Amino acid sequence: MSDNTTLLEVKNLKMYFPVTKGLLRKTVANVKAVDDVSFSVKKGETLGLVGESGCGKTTVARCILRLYRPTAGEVIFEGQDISAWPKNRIRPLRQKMQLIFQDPYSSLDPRQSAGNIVGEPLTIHKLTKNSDEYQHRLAELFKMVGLDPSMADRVPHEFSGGQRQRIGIARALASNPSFIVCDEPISALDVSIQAQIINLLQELQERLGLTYLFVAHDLSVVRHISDRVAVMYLGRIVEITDWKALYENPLHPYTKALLSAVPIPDPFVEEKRERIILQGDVPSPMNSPSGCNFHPRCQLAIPECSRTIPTLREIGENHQVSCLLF
Amino acid sequence: MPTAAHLLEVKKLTIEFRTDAGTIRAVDGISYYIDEGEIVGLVGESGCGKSAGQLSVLQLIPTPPGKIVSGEVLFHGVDILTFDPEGGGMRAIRGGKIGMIFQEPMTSLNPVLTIGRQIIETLMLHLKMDRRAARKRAIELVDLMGIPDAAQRIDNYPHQFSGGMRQRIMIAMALSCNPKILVADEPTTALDVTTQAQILEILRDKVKEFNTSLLIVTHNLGVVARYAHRIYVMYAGRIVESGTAKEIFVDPRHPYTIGLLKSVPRLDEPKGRKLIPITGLPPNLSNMPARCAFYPRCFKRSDTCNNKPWPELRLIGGQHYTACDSGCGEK
Repeated sequence: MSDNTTLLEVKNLKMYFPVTKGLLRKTVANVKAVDDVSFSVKKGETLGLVGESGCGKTTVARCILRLYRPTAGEVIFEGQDISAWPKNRIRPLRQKMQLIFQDPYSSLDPRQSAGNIVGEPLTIHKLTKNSDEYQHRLAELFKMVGLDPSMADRVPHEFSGGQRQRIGIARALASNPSFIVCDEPISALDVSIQAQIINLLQELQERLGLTYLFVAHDLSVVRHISDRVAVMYLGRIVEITDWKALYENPLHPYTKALLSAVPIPDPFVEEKRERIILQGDVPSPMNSPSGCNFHPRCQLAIPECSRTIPTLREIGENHQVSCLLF
Repeated sequence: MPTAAHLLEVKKLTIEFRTDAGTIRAVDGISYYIDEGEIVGLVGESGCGKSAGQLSVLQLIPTPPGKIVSGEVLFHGVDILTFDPEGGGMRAIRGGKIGMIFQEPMTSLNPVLTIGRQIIETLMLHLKMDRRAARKRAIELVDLMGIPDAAQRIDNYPHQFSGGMRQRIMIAMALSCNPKILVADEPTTALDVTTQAQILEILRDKVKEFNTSLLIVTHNLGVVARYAHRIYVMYAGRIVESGTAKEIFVDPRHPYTIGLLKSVPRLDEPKGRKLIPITGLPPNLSNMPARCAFYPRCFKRSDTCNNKPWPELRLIGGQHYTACDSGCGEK
C-alpha cells in the first residue's frame, strides 16, 4: 500500500497503559488510550488530528515519535517499521522527526538562553563542524522564524508567548527534520497572536517542504491548515478524509456533533444553525462501552451498535468512516 | 433612591494595581450596563482588564495590591462600591443578587465538602431556608442542570464529577438564590468543544427560565456571537467598541475588532484565505502613553493618532460606539 510518496504509515497502532494495584503491581485493567489506529501521511501534506481531551490524539503523536513504545502495531517511517526499535537506533531518527509543544511557557528550559535551546539539536546530532558554522546556522534559524538573532542571549522569560513559541519552532527546525508533529501549537496563545504562528507554520512548510501532523482540538484552525483530517474518539479514529469532504460532508455522527459545536463569529449565521448537543460525557477509556465507543451518546444508534465494534471502512473516494450505519 | 434605567450600570470605573514595576492601570474608566433579561458579552484578550472590571463589581479585587481608584457601580440605582466589602450589604449581593461562575470549576469548588453541602450552605445563608428545604431545593437545582441521579449525586465530592458536570454544579449554585445577574468569567474555556456547547446551551436556557441577566466574559468571539445580545470589546483596560452583536460582527469599526475577526479562521469561509494577524504584542500596562494604546499595532494609524489622547467612545449609529477617530468610525 505504501509507495514512495508516503512518509509515514501507522498500522493497527495500540497503546495500552496498565493500571496496577497492590504490592506486586499486578495489572488489573488497561487504559486503552489508542486502540487500533491506522492512517498514513503523504510527503508534504498536513494531516490534522482532532478530538476532545482524552481521546488519545497526543498518545498517537507520542507513539509515532517513539516517546512511547506502542503496545502493538506498526509505525512505518520512510519505509521502515520503527515501532520496536531500541533507543540507540531511535536517537538518530529524531533528527528527521520533531515536535512542537503546546505550552511555550513550560516547554523551554528557563535557565538556558534562547540560543542554547535552539542550538542544542545541532550539537547533539553534530550537525555543524565549527563554531562559525554553528553561529551562522543559529542566526539562520532565528531569522527563519522571525526572531532577531541578537536575541539569542536572552532567556525564555524575556520573551512573550508568541516569541517563545517561535523559539520552540526554531528548535524543532534545527536538525532539518522532514516530519514535524505540532501538538496544540497555538492553544496557549492569545487570539491576536495565534494567526502569526499559523501563518509561520504554513510559510515554513512551503519553504522547507515539511510534513505536519497537526494535533489540535480547534476545528476551525485544523480546517485552515490541514489537507486531510482524522477525527478521534476514545482511542479510535471515527472518520478520516480530505478536509473538504470532512467539513462539507461529514458522515460520522460524532464528527457532525463536533462540527456543529464550533461557534462561528457571526450572529446571522449562528441564528440559522442547528446544533447537535451531545448528551453526557466522554466515557473513561478504562472501561469503554461495548460495541461502538460512541453508541451511548449517539442519536442514531441502533441496537446492533452496542454489540459490534465498527471498523474503519472506505465509503467514498479517500473517505473512511467507522460506523455501522454506512 | 434614584430611578435607574439599567439593572446594573458601571460608570467610569478605574482600577489600579500596585506592582514592583510600578502602578498598573488595569481598567481605565470603563462604563457598561446590563438590562434585565439581557445577555451581554465582554470580550478581550488576557490582560485587557476584562476580569478585573467584572470582579470589582462584587468588590472581589484583592486590596492591596488592587485598588478601585474611581467610578461607580449602580445596582438597582444604588452605588454598591460604597458598601463595606466585608459588610452584610455586600454579602447579600454577592452570591445572592449577583451570582458568579468562574473559569476553572475544580478550583472554585471546595474539594473537601460534598457539592450538596456547598449548595445547601448558600441556600440557608441567603434564603434563610432550613436544612431540609434547602436539601430538597438543592436536589431540584442539580436535577435541573441535567445531572442524572441528583438525589444521590448531591452527596458526592467535586472530584467525582467530570469538568462539564462541575461547571453545571457551579451554575446550579450560582442560580440557587435566584440572582438578578449572573456573571460568567470564561465559563467554558477549560472545557472541550462539545461540552462547551452543552454548558452554553444550559446557561442560556436557565437564565431565561430564571429571568436572570447574564454577563459572559470571554476571549472567544464565536461564543458571544451566538449568545450575546450586546457586546463590549476591551483592549488594554478600555472599552474600544460596543454595540449589538450584529453591529459588532457585521460592521466592526474599531481596527482592533476588525483585526481580531480577520485573524481567526472560520468554519464557513472559503479555504485558503491567508490569516491576517494583528502585528506586534499587547502593550505592557505600566507606563502607558496617553495616546491610543492600540496605535503601535493598528493598520489604520496616522500621525494624528500619535499626537492626541486616546479617543473617547462615540456613537456612530444605533447602539454602536467606537473609540477610534482614524476615519474608520464613519458610517
